[in-house]
Amino acid sequence: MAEISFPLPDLGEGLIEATVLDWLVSPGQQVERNQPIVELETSKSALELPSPQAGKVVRIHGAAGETINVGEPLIVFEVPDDTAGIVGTVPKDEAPKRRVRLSAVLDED
Amino acid sequence: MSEAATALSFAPGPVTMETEPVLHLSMQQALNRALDEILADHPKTVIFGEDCGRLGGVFRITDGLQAKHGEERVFDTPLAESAILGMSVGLAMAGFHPIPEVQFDGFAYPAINQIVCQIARMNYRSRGTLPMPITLRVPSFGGIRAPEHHGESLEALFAHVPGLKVVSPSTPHDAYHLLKYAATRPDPVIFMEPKSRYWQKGPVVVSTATPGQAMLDAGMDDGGSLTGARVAREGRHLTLVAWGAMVARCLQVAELAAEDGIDVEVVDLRWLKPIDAEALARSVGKTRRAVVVHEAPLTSGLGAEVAQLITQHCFQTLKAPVERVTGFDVPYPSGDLEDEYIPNIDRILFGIQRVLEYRRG
Repeated sequence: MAEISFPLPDLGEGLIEATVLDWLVSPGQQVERNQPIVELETSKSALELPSPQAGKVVRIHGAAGETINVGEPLIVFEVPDDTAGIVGTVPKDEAPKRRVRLSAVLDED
Repeated sequence: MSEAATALSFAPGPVTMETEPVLHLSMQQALNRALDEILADHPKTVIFGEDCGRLGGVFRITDGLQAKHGEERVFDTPLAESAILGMSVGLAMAGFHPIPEVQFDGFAYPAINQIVCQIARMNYRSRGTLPMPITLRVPSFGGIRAPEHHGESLEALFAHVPGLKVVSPSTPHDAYHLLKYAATRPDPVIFMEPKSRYWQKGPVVVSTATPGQAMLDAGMDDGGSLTGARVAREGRHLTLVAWGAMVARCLQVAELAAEDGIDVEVVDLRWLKPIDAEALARSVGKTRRAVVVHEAPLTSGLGAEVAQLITQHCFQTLKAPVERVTGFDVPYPSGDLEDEYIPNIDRILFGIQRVLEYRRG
């Protein structure tokens, strides 16, 4: 299994930090992509942050009321090794299929 | 290749093999471990590229290395391949051993000037006073359903440039050892990682010493068998020559050919420059028939070079002209079409059949 850390993203308008209002997920929980994971408040607005990916939550950073800077770790997911790549899909090792048969008279000289 | 070097045959030297553990790793894990050990063993090594630092790379090859070795040795770069490779030139001039990453094969094009005009010839131009000990990691070849520029095979392009060495591993074990070996070379090495093979696991004999160093310690020259090809499967009737992700496919084909009574040998070329012509001659000298398989387009592909080397060394004994089974002379297609482009099992079997059927007029 691989761990993927997700840092607090820039929430817009150049704000450099956000305060955790409430965590909507907890360590050990399996989350889906785009599922709301945390309520945050910036000096402009309060918002729900969607999960950037599917995975099991390993750690969350910042209790309710604490402030996190943009770029600091927010949440860490655990994912299977072969889904940890970010671009493309993982080829499946399938049983080889064939339509062509070989025929040859081999002279073993 | 010397007798002593041949005796090593597989990457780890007999010096350390007895005591080294065998791990079951994916190529991604093997490469990550190799980079971790290179950073620990060689203080002048620096690793950088797009998303290599905090994220750990889009394929997780540099996962955890920045946290362990620090932001000065493993770091992110802007999206500017010419800058990544240009910076490598400067770092190498200043005594560092850069291991830059170009995130995908097709992203190397913007850096071709730095690779060809600076990295490949700085040592030559400076009469050996400015060597370029750079290992450029390039996740390469197709097979992962990715968009344009994410599935290309640039080995012929790189192999044509004097001053560059080119290598591509096909197993986790080779990936681990060839990367450690490449990273300690005084010359620039283009390290082409078969991205469709990142996640398949295999046995890896790990070694705390770099194999190159272990062999030097043992009084052997420059790495022995690590500079050569590998017989991935022995056979009597025909040799399939491949590298990177095509090695696994050729091994499947060999199993299917055996059902029809055809005993196929598979040679994993590993080094695409310089090519191990002796290994080709040994194999085809025995089997007398050869098919080269690669993903890159046919025309001026590396298959032509391999076919010529085989013809040169085995002309008298060859039973048929060397066949090539390759990609087509078109831009690499988008993911939905790549199964039609990459040599599949039937196309390789057809290539074998053409060679088997050939009769001298």
